[in-house]
Amino acid sequence: MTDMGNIVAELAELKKLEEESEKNNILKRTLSKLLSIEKKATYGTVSGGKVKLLEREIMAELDNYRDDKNAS
Amino acid sequence: MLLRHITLRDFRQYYGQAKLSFAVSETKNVTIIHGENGVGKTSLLNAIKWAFFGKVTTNFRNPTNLVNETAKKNDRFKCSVEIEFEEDGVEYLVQRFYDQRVKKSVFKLYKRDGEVWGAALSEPELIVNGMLPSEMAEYFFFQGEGSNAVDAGNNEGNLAQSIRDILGFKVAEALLADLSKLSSSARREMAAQDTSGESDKLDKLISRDQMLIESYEKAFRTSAELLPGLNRKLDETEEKLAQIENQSLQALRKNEKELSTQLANCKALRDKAEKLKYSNISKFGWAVFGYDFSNSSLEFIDESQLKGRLPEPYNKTFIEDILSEKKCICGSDLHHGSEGYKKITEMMAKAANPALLVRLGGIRAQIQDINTLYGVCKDSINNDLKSFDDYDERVQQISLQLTNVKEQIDTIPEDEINRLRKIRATLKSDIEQQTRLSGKSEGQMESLQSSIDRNTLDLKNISPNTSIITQLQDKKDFVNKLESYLQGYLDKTEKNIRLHVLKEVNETLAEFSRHDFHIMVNESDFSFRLLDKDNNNVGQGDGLNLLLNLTITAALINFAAERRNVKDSILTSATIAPLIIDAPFGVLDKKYRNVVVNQLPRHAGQVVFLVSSSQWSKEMNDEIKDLIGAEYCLVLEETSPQNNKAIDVSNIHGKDYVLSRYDCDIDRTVVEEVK
Repeated sequence: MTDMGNIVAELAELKKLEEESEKNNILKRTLSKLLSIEKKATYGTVSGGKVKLLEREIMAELDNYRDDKNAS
Repeated sequence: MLLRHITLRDFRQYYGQAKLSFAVSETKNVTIIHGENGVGKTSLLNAIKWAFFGKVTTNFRNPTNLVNETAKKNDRFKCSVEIEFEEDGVEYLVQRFYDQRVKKSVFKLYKRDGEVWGAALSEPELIVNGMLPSEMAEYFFFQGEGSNAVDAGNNEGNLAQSIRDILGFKVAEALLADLSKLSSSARREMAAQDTSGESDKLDKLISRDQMLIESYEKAFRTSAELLPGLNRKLDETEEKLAQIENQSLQALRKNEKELSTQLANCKALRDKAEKLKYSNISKFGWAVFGYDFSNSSLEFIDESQLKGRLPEPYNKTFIEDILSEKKCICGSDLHHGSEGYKKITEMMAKAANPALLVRLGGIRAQIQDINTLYGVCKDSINNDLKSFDDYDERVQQISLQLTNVKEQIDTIPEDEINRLRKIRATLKSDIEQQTRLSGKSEGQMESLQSSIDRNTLDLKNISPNTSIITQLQDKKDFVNKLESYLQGYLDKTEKNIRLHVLKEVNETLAEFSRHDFHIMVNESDFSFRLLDKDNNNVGQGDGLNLLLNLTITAALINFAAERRNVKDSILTSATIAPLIIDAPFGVLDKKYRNVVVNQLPRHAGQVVFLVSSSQWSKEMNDEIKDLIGAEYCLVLEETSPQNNKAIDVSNIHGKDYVLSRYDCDIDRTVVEEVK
């Protein structure tokens, strides 16, 4: 069993590392945007259709994803 | 989140305006609201829940009939609840209005701007759920008797779902489903680009295989969900059987065996004693039986044979000399024919002869032998008889005990044993079947995935190498990567966190319960069981069930508080919401009430207890009097005459407060502050 203090510290450290590479982390960045839309749809209302909005965000990051894939 | 004030207008029992201010100090964070049944405690809890989320608890009757009845009679068909609260140091005002005639509500949220409230914020639901998601609120706005926050009641509670709720999985799981749809959509678009029809054919095959995979996944999940429960039930059934067999039947069987052995041994000893008895009787019995006879015979022989006879040997010459002298030594005349002469000659005729004396001596010797033998053997025979009697009595006792044990064995619930054995057999069969199904589903999913991979590759190869196809392929890959990343993140987070929550739950249980209970969690589905120190299942009555719920609620609040500083861009950050508990102590044993009332305020940032006089005691009050920052009474006012109705009175801090009044102008509940 992991101690919560360790988990919190581990997550905080992870968070710091992730924040540093946030701009380069296309998956996490995209997911963050998609979750924001999903949250709006879950607890509020979204205009223009949820799936279309999600798709739009995905397409907006697609070139970055492709570049990242080609680069690696 | 910190609640500051609440204002109700024509909401259920509250006619007109009713206002309360909650305790907000860190050191005095407890608000107590006293009220008898039906006066409006549950309505108050639901006013808070409804104001924030438009939802009410499951035990709140007529949830669409929110406007006060007297208000309706006065042509007022709207009600409202306003709550002023604070989140992260910012003050907000939430308002929800309800129109009974159209059964619709309007929700508004304002942020304080200096001394006044600013303009109504757009998307208030989103903002409020961002502070406290409605699924998390279930753990904070708690109906003590009416519902179970974690459904712990029947040992089937799934703590994993509670943890997912607290972690805010709801939004992430919805996104996962949407990403899956987007991936399928991209593939279909790719297939539509090939005019030859080959791509469409392959796409259809892939779609079919994906549908099959989904159905196998469903079957696999069903088996995976069923198996832990089945295994748990099997364990419980085995345990029950073992308990019956171990505690009753096996103990009785053991006793029966021991008594049977004792009986056999005792019978053998008794038989041995009996043989010895008969042997000694046959050997010496005649002496015993002849003893009395011999004594009387000896007396008879001495009496009958020797009485009145001259003793032998006697001096015959001396007698003859006396007779010839014709004169006795005493001087009497012994002439022939005299009286003296006759007597002496008669005695001479009866004088014992030697042969007779020898014979009598023999008989006497034998009789004396009998007497001697009797003296020697009587104790031995008596011992033999006593020994036999003792063993015989012991045999009777053991036989009786054995009969009792056998009767007890006969009363063992063989029907129950047979029923449990049948259940065990069925469970074993079900487990076998589900394991087989699970394995089969897994195999089929692997095979179908291979087929999908193959067809996807073929689809890629035969698809015209156009920029549109490339774009769609990249889009699909990207969506799949997002899906996989999110799923992995959720799995990893849940695995790490739920073990910690279990630790929290057990620690809180140790604080709340006076027994040495702990919670055992099934790692596969995170369902849990309450066990005692010997790992036996603890039967959960209503009181223990409520205690378990309060324990888990407190542990989840702890967890949410600890996680508050963990900013997570994927999962919702946890919040510390006020813990509002309606009727928290109703079914809780008195001994637990003091502990719980003392501990809960230490787990939550702000606590509101809604209690009736039967649930509140001086001892409980003493436990938290230093933490109470606000206290109110809900007073029932009725227009009807009192007649024989009793006036409800509650003694708070040694002072009596009237909780019901009659002959009033309006039927309503009024809020009065305890000072």
